[in-house]
Amino acid sequence: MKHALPGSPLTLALLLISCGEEEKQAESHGGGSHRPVIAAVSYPLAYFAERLSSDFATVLYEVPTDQDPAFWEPGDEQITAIQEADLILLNGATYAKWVSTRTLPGETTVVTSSSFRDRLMETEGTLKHTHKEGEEAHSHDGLAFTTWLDFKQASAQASEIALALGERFPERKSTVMTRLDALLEDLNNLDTGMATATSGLGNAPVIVSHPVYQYWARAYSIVAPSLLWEPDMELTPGDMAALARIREEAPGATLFIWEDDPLPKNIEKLKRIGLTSVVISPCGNRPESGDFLSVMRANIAALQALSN
Amino acid sequence: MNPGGIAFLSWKHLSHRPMRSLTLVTAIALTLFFPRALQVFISESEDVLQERARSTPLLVGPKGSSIDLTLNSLYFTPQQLLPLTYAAYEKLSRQRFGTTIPMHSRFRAEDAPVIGTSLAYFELRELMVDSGRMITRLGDCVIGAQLAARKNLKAGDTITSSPENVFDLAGVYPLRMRITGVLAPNHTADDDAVFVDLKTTWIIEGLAHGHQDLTDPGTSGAPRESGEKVVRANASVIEFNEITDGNITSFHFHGDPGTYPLSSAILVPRNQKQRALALAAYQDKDATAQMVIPLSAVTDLADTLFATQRLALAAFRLLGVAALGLASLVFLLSFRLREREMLTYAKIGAGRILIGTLKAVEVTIVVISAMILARVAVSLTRSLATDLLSRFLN
Repeated sequence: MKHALPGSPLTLALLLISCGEEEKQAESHGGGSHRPVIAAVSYPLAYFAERLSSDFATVLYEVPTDQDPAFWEPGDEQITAIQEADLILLNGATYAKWVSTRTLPGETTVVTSSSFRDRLMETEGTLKHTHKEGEEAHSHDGLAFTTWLDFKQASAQASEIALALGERFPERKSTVMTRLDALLEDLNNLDTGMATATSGLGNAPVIVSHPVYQYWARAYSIVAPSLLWEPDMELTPGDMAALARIREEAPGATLFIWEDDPLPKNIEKLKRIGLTSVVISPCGNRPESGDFLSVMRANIAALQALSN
Repeated sequence: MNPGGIAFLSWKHLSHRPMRSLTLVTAIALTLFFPRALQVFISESEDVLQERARSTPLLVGPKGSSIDLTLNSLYFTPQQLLPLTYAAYEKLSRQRFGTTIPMHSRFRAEDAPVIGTSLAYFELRELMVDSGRMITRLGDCVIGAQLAARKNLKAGDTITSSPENVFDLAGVYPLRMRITGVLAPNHTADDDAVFVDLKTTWIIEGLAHGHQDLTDPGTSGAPRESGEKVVRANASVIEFNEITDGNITSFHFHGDPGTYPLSSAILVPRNQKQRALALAAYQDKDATAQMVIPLSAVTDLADTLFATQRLALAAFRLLGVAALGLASLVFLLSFRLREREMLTYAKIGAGRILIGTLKAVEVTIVVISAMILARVAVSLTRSLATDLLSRFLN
């Protein structure tokens, strides 16, 4: 009677098949030649995803640095690349307007703000319209979307990403959760730092150049009336009149917040009317230097410097 | 006389009266063909229906006929039931019973059904893009191979949705859709359909639209008083009937998305536990939606078909007996007419057995020819049954 010996063709074939299976498993779990891709619609989400998965996944974030990810319009090829990602991280709150008009696979798409969707803020002061008599007037502007400027919300978003990564790559779950702990600690430190820095501002309102600070203002109990100014725009008499109106509505403001470094003459103009300029970057897009953490620390430091 | 001689004489006689012989062969062939063809057709139908139903584990739709729901979701037959709300679909998705795939098949374009769905549908049906690429945005569509061939359409062309009622002048604008790709054939109803993002069907439905910027003072039909916070648009505001790179950002949705309609949702549980939980969740009699196992619905339909088949087979058998009786009569009359010919055979030495053999060979040739013809026709039916069924169902 013949037996299949260790070196027989049958054993060899079985060995090859089992090796093939292992390779397949390794590939499907991100250990093979296919490196998982995680697409993110904003830099903060891309940063969180990189912190949680940089050793086994590639983060796809293609928004050019000179564009605002909230209003960036991807091309067909970019959408195709995003569709093929293993995980697509959305901010929610109508951030990244393109999401509502493009086709994304529901199965791999994660809305990172879903745990606090009932606390999202509607934007105010935008022009409304109706199309016919009796129809409810509506605005196309939607919700305030800079959710991560409230660091507790940022923590919730990071946790949502970690959960999604754990579900998608169960074999990486423990590593991801360990990294989440470190990330949450960093975000918690930012939250404490920002609370301390803003407490030094007292109860006076803070005028902000752009309507992107709603969650920051709510989280740290700041009254923050908003203009619609860009850091690099020349301030016209009309703009100054709008500022004057806001100062009448919210008297006592001595601080003016910009998204990015403003033109020096704008700083001077505001200084002449008693407003100190300070940059609090929302960091929606990848910074030229540093990362999300360093930019947020710089924001806190800028506010702390005012108190000192 | 040797057997070759008998066959020669029989053949000579049959070919001497070709019309009579052909009529006999055809009549007997049809008598044999119809019952068998019916069996084949129903058996193939069952296979085709069950194959697609098997690859669609569960269906969620509004209450009503489970067969209507199944045929609408699997074969895109006209929607008979009330729509399912998007809120009901979202609730199903949140319950995490598996992959949920929305289906909205109310509209048509060039007589083909327009199916609003998600990318997961293409994975479920293993539909690959043969030429072009997958849809990426509102207004994009991929079309089935059969539709592309029939209408001579290719990636880069456009296809326009048909108005539901040509007399409804105030109805929804037809939407010109960009064909981004043609799907590889999979020999199902998918080959004759237009697939779009679910949101695109809502644009066709009039729940979303794009138009000129009403806040732009240059826009006609957007009057507003200084300081007024509400712009009231009138009919002169131009609504876009095609989605382009230039106007896509102006498209927006109105009303509560939870009330938006769907035809049904396909649910693909990942394991038996999810399947059991999903089925249990829809047992409530007060629920506004129902969960259907397409395979069961199709089996019920097949059972109905079998009952019809039994009835039809009985009728065919009776007809067959009558037809064979008529054929026998034709043979008997024919042999009566040929009595003198048979007498001649007897005078030149042919015995009764030989003459009987001669008659039997003639009958045998006719019957065997009819059987061969019936067999060929049954084979043809078998090969065409799938396509025919798809056409009947559409």
